[in-house]
Amino acid sequence: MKVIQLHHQEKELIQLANENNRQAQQQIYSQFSPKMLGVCRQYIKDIHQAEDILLTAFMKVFTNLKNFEHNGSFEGWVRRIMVNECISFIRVQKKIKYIEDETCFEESFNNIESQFSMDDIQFLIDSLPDGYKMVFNLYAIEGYKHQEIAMLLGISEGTSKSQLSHARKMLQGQVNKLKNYEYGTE
Amino acid sequence: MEPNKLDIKIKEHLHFREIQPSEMAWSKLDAMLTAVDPINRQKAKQKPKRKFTWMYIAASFAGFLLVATIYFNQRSNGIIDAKNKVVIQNGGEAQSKKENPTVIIAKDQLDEIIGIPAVKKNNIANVTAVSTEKSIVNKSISNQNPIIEVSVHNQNLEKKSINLQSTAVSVDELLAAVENPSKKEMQSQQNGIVRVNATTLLSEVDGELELSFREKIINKVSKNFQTVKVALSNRNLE
Repeated sequence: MKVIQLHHQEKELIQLANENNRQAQQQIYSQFSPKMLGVCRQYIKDIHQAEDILLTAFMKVFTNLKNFEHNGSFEGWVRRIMVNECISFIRVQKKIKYIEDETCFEESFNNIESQFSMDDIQFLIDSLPDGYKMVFNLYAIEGYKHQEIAMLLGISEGTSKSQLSHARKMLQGQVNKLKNYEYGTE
Repeated sequence: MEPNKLDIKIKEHLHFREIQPSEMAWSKLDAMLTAVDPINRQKAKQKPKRKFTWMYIAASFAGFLLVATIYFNQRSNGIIDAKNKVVIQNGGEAQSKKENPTVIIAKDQLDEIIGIPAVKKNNIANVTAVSTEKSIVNKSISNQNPIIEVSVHNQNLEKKSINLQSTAVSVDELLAAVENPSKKEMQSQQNGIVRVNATTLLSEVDGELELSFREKIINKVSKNFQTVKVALSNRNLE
């Protein structure tokens, strides 16, 4: 019952926001902005730039609310807009060149035992090149398939796979470095 | 490529991460939304239109006022001059008031007008000229029965066609005629057929007045120009 009531409330809120009700828009913003800034930060290293992208993406959310069809979750729809905005920003700002090799490393990086803090993980991701980072974020965190990533970034499916593989390898190296630093071996 | 432990671990951490945006972020977004708001856009579009209509109204009103001022100014300068008006009246006889015409003439032409034998059918006319500076002059013009044919019409139209030189000549002629009336005129006066075209006289006077108006404006402009020139030179000297 509570879930249905919440859904109903969210629908009303969206309706009001669509009618340019500033209070409803602010409520939606307050509800989703912290999480969405976290999403933007995954892609953009600079927090101020990430915030600017967040605002631009929210502008798109509010101006395109009429297109939301209440079929899926509203949060998912907003998150998708955020991700797209980040990708287009990176593509415009930094002309990324994807290396067209399709070699994949079928290694399993399952030897993760130590606990990392959020800052460590963010550091690991920030250390990745933009191409690797985008593919890794889209695949591992957002749950996109290689076909979708290929379409989104305008690359081939094989390139997407190889980028992911390279990203994982790099991350593993960084994790090992961190572990060594943690244990004082380095 | 299945997700491995590292992927899952990173996802767990990042998927639910929250970063609080700065306090100014909402006000920025609010400003952006206000700028994009269709109602505000409409208002912004409507405002200049209103301004333009008011400007048109104001401009037309100002234009109308200007035209009216110029028109009435011309009329007042061309026909009636409060300072210089001359009123030709009857010599105090109540009976002939209705029949005697009152002509308003310029001060400069006072002498000439006085000299003109005003003639009227079946009436003895006395012409009285009044000026602001001079005393009222009553002059009996003629003991005979002169005829006045005064018709004042379309003065403004006739003004343009009058040659100033010819005006001066005709006035002189008229003066001469009054002072030294020729035999023919004397004869004609005796016969009561002396005719003076008052319309021509009036239009001539109008023509002169128009000229003086122009001169006035030119003088004013030149005077102002001189004032500005002097002021500028003084300032430069300082």
